[in-house]
Order: sequence, then structure tokens, then C-alpha cells
Amino acid sequence: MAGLKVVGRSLIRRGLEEKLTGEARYTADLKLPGMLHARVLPSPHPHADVVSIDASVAEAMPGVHAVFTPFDEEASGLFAGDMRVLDTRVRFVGDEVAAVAAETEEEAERAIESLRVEYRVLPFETDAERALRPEATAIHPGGNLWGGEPLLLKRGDVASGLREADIVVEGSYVVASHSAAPLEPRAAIAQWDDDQLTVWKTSRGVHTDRAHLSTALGMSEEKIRVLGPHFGAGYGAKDESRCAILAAILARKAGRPVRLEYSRYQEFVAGRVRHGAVIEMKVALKRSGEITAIENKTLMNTGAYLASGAGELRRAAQGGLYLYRCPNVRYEGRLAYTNTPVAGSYRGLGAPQGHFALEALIDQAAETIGIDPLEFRLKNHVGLEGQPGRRTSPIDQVVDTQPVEGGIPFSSNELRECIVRGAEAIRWGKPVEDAGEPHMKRGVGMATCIYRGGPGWESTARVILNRDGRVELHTGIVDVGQGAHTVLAQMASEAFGCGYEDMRVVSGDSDVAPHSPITAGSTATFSAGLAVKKASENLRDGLLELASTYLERPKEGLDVRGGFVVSNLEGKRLASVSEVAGGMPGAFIESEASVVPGSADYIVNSFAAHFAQVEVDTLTGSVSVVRYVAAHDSGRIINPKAAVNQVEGGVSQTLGLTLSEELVTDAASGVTLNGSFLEHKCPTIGQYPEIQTIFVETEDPIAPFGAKALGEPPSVPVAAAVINAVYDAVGVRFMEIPLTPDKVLEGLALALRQAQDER
Amino acid sequence: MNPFEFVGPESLKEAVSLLTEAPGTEVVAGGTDLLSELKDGLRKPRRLVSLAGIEELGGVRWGNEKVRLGASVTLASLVDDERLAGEFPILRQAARSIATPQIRSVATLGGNLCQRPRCWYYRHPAFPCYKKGGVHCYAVNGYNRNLAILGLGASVMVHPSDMAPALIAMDARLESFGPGGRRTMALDDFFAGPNEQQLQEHVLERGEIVTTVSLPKPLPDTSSVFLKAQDRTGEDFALASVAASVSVSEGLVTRANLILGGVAPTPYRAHEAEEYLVGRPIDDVQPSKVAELALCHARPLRHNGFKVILARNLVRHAVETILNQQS
Amino acid sequence: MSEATRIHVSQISLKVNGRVRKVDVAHHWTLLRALRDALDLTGAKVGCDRGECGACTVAVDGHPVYACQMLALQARDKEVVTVEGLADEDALHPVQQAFLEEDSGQCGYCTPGFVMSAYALLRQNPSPTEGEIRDALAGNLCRCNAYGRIIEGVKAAADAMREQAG
Repeated sequence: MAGLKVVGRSLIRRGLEEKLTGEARYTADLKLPGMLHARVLPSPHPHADVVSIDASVAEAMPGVHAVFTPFDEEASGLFAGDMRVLDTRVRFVGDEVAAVAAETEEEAERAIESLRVEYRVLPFETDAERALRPEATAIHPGGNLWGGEPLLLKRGDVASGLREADIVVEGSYVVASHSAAPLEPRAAIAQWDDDQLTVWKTSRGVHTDRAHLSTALGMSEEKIRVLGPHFGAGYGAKDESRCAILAAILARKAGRPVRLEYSRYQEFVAGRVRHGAVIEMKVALKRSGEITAIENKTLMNTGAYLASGAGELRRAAQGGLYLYRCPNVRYEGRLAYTNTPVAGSYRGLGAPQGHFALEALIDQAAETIGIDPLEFRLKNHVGLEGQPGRRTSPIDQVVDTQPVEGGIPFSSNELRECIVRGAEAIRWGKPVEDAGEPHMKRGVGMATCIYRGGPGWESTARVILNRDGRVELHTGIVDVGQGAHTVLAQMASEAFGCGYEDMRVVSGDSDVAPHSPITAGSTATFSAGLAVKKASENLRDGLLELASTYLERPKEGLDVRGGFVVSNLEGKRLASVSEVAGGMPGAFIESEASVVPGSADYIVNSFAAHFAQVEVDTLTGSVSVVRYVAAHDSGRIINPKAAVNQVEGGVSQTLGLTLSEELVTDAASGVTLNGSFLEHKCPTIGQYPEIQTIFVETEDPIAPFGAKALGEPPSVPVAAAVINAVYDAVGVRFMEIPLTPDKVLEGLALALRQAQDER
Repeated sequence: MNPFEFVGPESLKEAVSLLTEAPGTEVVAGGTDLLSELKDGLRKPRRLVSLAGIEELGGVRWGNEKVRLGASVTLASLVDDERLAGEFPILRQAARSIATPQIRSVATLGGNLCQRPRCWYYRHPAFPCYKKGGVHCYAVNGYNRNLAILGLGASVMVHPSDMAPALIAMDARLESFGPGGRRTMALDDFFAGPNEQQLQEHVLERGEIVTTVSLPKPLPDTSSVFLKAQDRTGEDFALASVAASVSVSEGLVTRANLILGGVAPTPYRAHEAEEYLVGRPIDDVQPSKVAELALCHARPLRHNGFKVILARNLVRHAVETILNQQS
Repeated sequence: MSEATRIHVSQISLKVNGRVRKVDVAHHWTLLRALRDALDLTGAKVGCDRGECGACTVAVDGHPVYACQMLALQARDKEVVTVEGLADEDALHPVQQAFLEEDSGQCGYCTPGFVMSAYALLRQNPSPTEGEIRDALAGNLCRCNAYGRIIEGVKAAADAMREQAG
């Protein structure tokens, strides 16, 4: 696609300037006249029935305008499946019991303290495996195994694959629960105007939030308007909470606007965490290096409620099912309820856990048969042609982005090139530079990944040309910080034919924006991009109609470029877009397009190969990543600088999962012990490694301008790349993450003892 | 946060009388630790007495024999003071390892010595633990990865101060002023374990204020080092730290201070290791022997066995570093 | 009202972004609350309210400080600079301009805090090494982990400021 003017350029990120000056307003920065402040009472018990609540003291307090308990009528509404607005059964410490609204924060706090709650305490479970014992207390009516049975996915016959093999390697891998911990805690402001509700909230999808509010409050969507101001990120973790619903109910009771903000501790506990997982993986292979079977048994802890657990359990499977060419694969996934904070979406949604186990075990498999891990991957990774086997789904049906069946090719697949170019950049196979001190050990490791390429839900975009020449892109897609508005504006400008600066993005208002799904699953660029591109092309067509009349020339010879109508033949500018627009009969022309993204012929997936060079301090057990190379196939890159930022950020963020972050629940009390930025150890700038990003650009034939998903893939291979590098450095295969200093020191000591015993 | 009254006296005398005149009165210097406790409702004072306006608590004063550090000196100025870092490099090493630039701008030396435990059970309002006046130490049988391996008592907390081991290693003395007037003591004697004190980690009486920490100028041929291990670089308390200071004369070790931080309810002096060192020819010192002796009393809990390995490694590395400096 | 819940209020004077402001503050208010609620300066964000994330960083007498972990009364008579005070009428501050060009932010919630830490660093040390930049920003978390771009932004700002200073 030669001659692109806007797409492919590192243009300045939309909204960044106002973020830099402090002008950008986030939900908690907004104040409404007469606004009250809300506070929530968290459950002190991990599992209990709320027998009664005496709110008489709170209700009598001056300044208190509303008290809301699970015994109110509005409390029983279900939203997000298994969660009520407020429930008389609480299922984890921090589960919300009641809420109040008062004139000041202090008065609201005092009112919460004054509530007298009688609980009937129930037995509780904090561990997923224990929660599945037959005698365990059921947390939900169907029992603690979600769905009542495991999720089974398979291709071919694993048993015969195991029989054919010369060698079977296996391992049991553990990933701890940890929090996405967006810097902005959840917040919502609700205001009623008669029976019309307006909500400002920390939102990654105003339409999805409107639907949740409608379900929970039992009112029609038309009466609800959701506004999403600037968004302090969520990485997937910021939906499905009660925050906005509670604000809305309190505001209705009080007859005044209400603001509810979560404290940092509440964000850690009542927000969403990444599913902890135990993964038992087997790889069967022939001495030649051919893989004959991959088996994966995964148990995930979804906490007290399901949230996005089903999707998480599914996505944890995909690496094992599809990253390596293999006729026989099987996945058995179990999702357990426990009385711990709710696990939900978080960047990569299960794939980081699944890939950690797979890619650590693949390294071991390669070593077992004496092949370099890089060679082994080059020999076995899935190619453009897809997996062996026959397609079983109807040939006119849109192909799942996470297929199990074989026989379907990818629309594009540059995984091999990612591996080759990444290896070159990290200088794979060359001696690693010495750390200079004998107790510092260095090593190099790699891992690869496969991930959904962006086809998601139906998406709609509207593009408007006003008579004064202004062009507006209306989208429901929220910029969650990744730069979606930047990328969509670039696509719209390119497709319409105006400058990037001339394309205004209007978003974040459910009344104005065309219906859009949440910004999730790395779908914004691909799925919303398709709609944006189509709407913009149609608008260009509309403009050309106008221009044809205005210029009295046939439409066929005209085009729009850089904000001008040009003649294709003479290649010269005939009139500016504003000039032509000025002559239009109405106030504006608009074009709206809806697209169901996907392909019936191809799997659209993104790929990456990551390489880490680590340094292990054998005195302190501390692991630091010194150098990192991330090579990605995400199709064409729309904005290289923003894309690099996205990759670097994804890698660095996932070093937390790999090396330091864990949300710890006290087994005796069910209390989350370390819900703070001090004790839940997110990476600081001190841990940031030197990261080199490589884009193996290819123009995907299905994707808008050839651009596939990029949001989540950077988080997927990180843990295995680092853990494999640690093995290279110290010769110990660690199977539990986060790999904190205690595990390193104990692992090294154990290895030393074993070596001494052998002697 | 519960409301309170904030008062800012200008003299020590005035501060002491404010602190003793009514119950529910507490002292605040930088406030970086106290404010978290107030916000979490761990303490609910009715009045805070600020020390910021008391001039004599500020400044670094040099004498012929020693230097006096005012209790209100910020950690940032301990990092930035070139003369201090020249004479006592270990102080800069310790100070710059603490918290973050924003905390160091405000947090004071006195506050660092008087800070409260960082144990997760202590910091969580849900647990009425021993150090908050309760009867149980929830950490003994709970999640105790970060806690004590030495000096276990009614609580298995560890003292969080990084300045304390470094200062004690340099033979610091502490001066205080209270209702009973002024007194001085070795900084080593300032700290009190859970069996001596329940609601504080030091020996100060009610209304008594830390005024100064003084350090004698180091002897010639003194080598000192501070090492700290933490979960992540930046914004972290010590999993374990060690401050070592050794003086040598005519080839013999004449003075040895070896203090461990983050492993016991008070800064922990490794007596056996010090005794091994003093009087020994420096060339005969075996770092691993010192490390073994330093941890000879260690009794790890369920989740913190690694801290014994860690502390031993740090001591060994500290002694090796000193031997290198001395050779 | 009982003694335990009585709210003590005092009027204090602060110099904020170059202007002397008289503000009525409750004694238990943090500087952050005074800035956000009394002065409507919402550039400094509430990320943790415990001095652990850096989103509220402001400069007090030139030093970087967590506005959430300092009482308003502790800032009495001091000079406070917030992110709103950096740009002048027609130009961004060099730190802001460099961050804009280097793409040194994503969701932006941590951004004002990083800008203020970088501002405080470059006042004290116009030519920081990368190690010094990392040390100076170690008290600010970016959960988007745009650290690589932020480091580049501070380097570019230092270059620009040195050039301006001639």
C-alpha cells in the first residue's frame, strides 16, 4: 500500500498534551454542584451471610443522605452473571456489604463505622485445589467448579501421540494471583434528572457500562447516559464492578449527585486480579525433535465471582493448542471459585499463564533431546499453513480467532521472521558478556507467542464532515491509554484524505458515540479500525459527489488528499475540503459503517518472539533483566512510536507477574494482606530493562491497512523468556512465578545440596 | 483519617509540655510514616505536635571530635551533604537506599529511628495485633516471609530502619529531651524489643523527643559498608541489611561493629562475629566464618528461611568488601 | 460534636504556582486535598493516598514531595509548584514539550507526577546520567510502564533546557 500519508507515521499521541499540563480531567477530578460523597462497607469475613444491618445511627447523622443495604429492594439485581448489586451473602473479605452517601467524606466514613452488621460466618476456601474437594463449602449454588465440569478441547488423539513419542517431558507450573493495579482507582459520579440517569465513570466501554447499569437497575438503556472522561487505565481489569451502580442508587435515594471513589486498598481488593493458575503440561516428542502430543491441564482460581473467568480459562489453552505444529493436542481447564478477591481480565487474559508453562517446558524438551531451544522452535513453530488436520467448521463461517481444529491457514504469520530477527538482535548463541562480579550470573532465554489478531465484536464508526470543513470521527471506543484514538484518527484521516490534525475524535459519551464494544482483547485497532476505515472511505465518496457538483467535473477523476480535492489526471489541487464543504446544502454530511470483523478463510493471529538477558545476583536472589528484545508480527504498524511504547510497556508490566507481584491472602482469616503499592511490588523505573522492539511488518490482507492486534501480545511470552534465561544463568529450572528472591535463594541452595549429594 | 488539631511549637520545652499535658497527643516530624497510620486508623490522636518549627532540631554541626545531626535533618540532606558523605560514606549509602526521593525530601532522621513496624498484620486495620496493644502476633503462624529470624519475642516484627544499623556501626549516640530533661545514650541502647515495649520500638518516655544523633569521627584505617537486599530497587524496605565498620591498627582488627537490619525487632548486633574479628590479624579473617557466626542464633519462621541465607551472604560480602578496602 | 470528631480549621498562606493563596484548611487535610478540593488544582492525582505511587508529586520549595503524604499545615508559607504551574501562556515547559515529542505517557494518570519529579531533578541537576534519572523517578509508578519513553523524555528535556540556558 504505497503512498500512505498518515498511516505508518509517529504522530503525536492524542490527548497527551492535556495530560502533561494537568488539564485532562479524570472521573475523580470532576465535581458537580451539590455532590455528595459515598463510602462502602467492606465485608470483614471471607464467607458469611448478612443477617441484619442496623443503620439507625447512620441514618440519624446530620449530613448523611442515603444508606443502601442488601435488604433494600434495588439490591437484588444481578449483573455480570453471578454478582448482585448487593448480596446478603458475602464471598470474600472486601466484598461490598453496604454503602452510604453524605455531605463530606468524613461524615460518610463515620456513617460507615456506625453500621451494626450481624453476620453468620461460613466456612471458607482460599485455595483453588482445596475448594474443589467434595466436602468444601459451596460458594455459589452450582458448587465451586465453574460450569460443573472441566473445559475440554482437543485435536487428534493425545494418547496415541504419547505412545508414538520417544520422550515425554512434563512439568507443573504455578502462577500467583496479582493485581493489574491501574494507577487510577475506580470512580463514578451519578446524577439523576427525573428518571434520566447520567453517570461519569472510569470506563473502558460506555455502551457496555450502560448495559450493565440497565441490567442492574432494571431500567431501559435509553434512560441512561454514560460518560467516560480521561481513563487512568485498567489493562482489562476495570469493568464489572459495582462502583457506578452503587453511586447511581445512592444518588437516587439522596436526590443529589453522588461520587464514589475506591481507595487504593479497595482497588486492590474489590478490583480485579489476574487468575492464579496451576498448569500441568506434557510435551511428547520424537528424538528427531518432532512433537507428537501436547497435553495441558490447567486449574485457575477465579476468586469469589466469575467475572471474565470463562474467557480467561479458554485463552490459557491457546498456546498449547496452536503455537507448535502438532497433530495431537488436548486441554483440560478447570476454574474454581474461592473466597478470595475476584479474578478478571488482565492484559493477555490467561495467555501469559499458559505460555509461561508451555514455553518453559519447550525449553526443557529441546534440552532433553539435545537441540538448541532456538533451533527447536524454528523446527516446530506453526507456519502460515496452520495446523495439520481437516477443517471441521462450516467453510462459510467466520473462523474463530482461537481455533482448535486444523486445516485452516493464517491470513499472515511472520513468527519465523520474529524468531530469526530477534535472535540476531540478542546475539543468540554468542557468549554473554561477563557481569564483572563472580556472584552475578548472566544468561539468555527466549519464548514465543501466538495471540488473537484483533477480530472481536461488531463495531460501528461514524465520520462527519461539517460545512465549516471540520471532520469528526465518532467512536464508542475508549482510549484506555494505549493510543486507540491516535491510531483510529490516523486510519480515518488516511481513508478520508485529510491531515491527521484535521480529524477530531469524539468519544466517551454513550448518547453521541455509535455503539461500540469495550476496548478489550486487543481488538480496537483491528475491529474498530475496519469500521472507521469503511465509514471514512464512504465519507470521502460523499465529499467527491459534492466536489463533482461544485467543481463541475466528473467524480471519477477526483480524489481527496491531504485535505484537498485533487484531480487524478493533472495531479493538482482543485479545492480545499473546507471550500467544497462550504458549498454543501445541509449543515453536514455523515457516514456510518458497521463491520462484523473476521474472515471465513483465514485465522487472523498476531505473533511474537521475545529474548531476555538476565542477571541473577546469587547473594541476594535478585533477578534483573539487563537487555530484552521483543520481535512482533502485528501486521502493519500504524504509529511506530506509540507501538514501541505499547510493546515496551507490556514487557515491563509483565516483569511484575514474572519477578515480583503477588496479592497475598492470609489463609487463616481470608484477609488480603498486601493491597498497597508498597507491598504489591509493581515494577518501578529501576527495574526497567533496555528493551529493543522489532516489528516484522507485513500487510495482513484481512486487517484494516494490514494492522493486527498489538495491545496484549507483548505481555504473553515475557515470563517464560525470563525464566528460561534464569536457567541459562544458574542452571535451575524455576517453575513458580513470581520468581522472588526467596525462591531463587532456596532454589539455589537446594540445587547445591543435590549436587553435593550426587557427589 | 480522624480529625485532629495540629500545633507547631517553636521550642523544645513548649513541645514537651504540649506532649505531656493531654492524652491523645502525638509527635510529628516529617509525618511520612505517621500519616499512613492515621489514614489506616491504626492511631487516632486528637492532637499532633509538629517539631518542624523547632530550630535546634535542625542542621548538621561539625565539632573537632564529632558531628551532630539534628533529629529534623531530612534523609535527602543526609544524601546530599558532601562533607558528611566524605567522612561517613556509609550514611549516604544507607540514606539513599531508603524509600523514594519524595519521601526523603520530607522524612527526618529522628522519624526514621522512631518508625513503626512494617509487618503486614500490623499495618492492616483488621488485625488487633500485639504491637497495636492486642495479645496475638498474627504473623507467627501467618504469612511471615518478611519477618524476624533473630530475637523473636512477643512479636516477630523486624525493625524497618536502614539508618539505625549504619549509625550504630559508626558508634552513634542519641540525645533526647523530655520531662526529665536531657539524656544521652548509645544508639544501640535506644531500641527496645517487643518484650520490653509493646506500643513503641524504643525506650523514650512519654513526651520525650529525639533531639540529636552524634557520631565520633572515625579512627584512621576504618572501613565501613552498608548493604541492603530488597524485593525491588526503589521504594522498598530491607529484606535484610548489614552495616559493618572495622578499624585496623598494625595489621590487627581493633574495632568491629557488625549490625544487621530487617532481621530482628531491633537492629541486631552480631556479637559473636564481632568478638571473632576483634584482635584478629586482618589477613586471617575468613568472611564465611564471620557470616556463620553472625547468624548463629537465627531461628527462621515458616516462610522466611531464605533470610538466613540472605543475611549470611550479605555479611560475607560486606566483610569481603572491607577486606578489599583494607588491602 | 464530640471532641474526637471536632474539625479544626486554620487559614494558611501558600505560594502556589507563583501566586500567594490564602486557604482555609482542616488540620487533618493533606496538601493534596487542599490543592484539589480548595484550589481546584486537579493535576496532582490521587493514586494511593499513602505516598507510594507518585501521582500526586508536587515541588515544595523546589523539592519533590508527595502531596498526599504531607499535611497542608506542613506546607504553610512554603512555595508549591504543581503541574499546572509549569507552562506559560504560549509555551509548554521544556519537560512537557519533550514528553509530548517522546511519547512519554500512555493513560496519563501518572504523567503529572513524572513531569514534576523530572522538573525537580532538572532544577537540581541539569545534566543527569541515565542512572540519576532512574534514581530521581524511582518514587513514581507508571502502571502502563511507559518507563522507556519517560527516560527518553527526561533526556530530551535536559538537552533542550541546557540549550535554552546557552
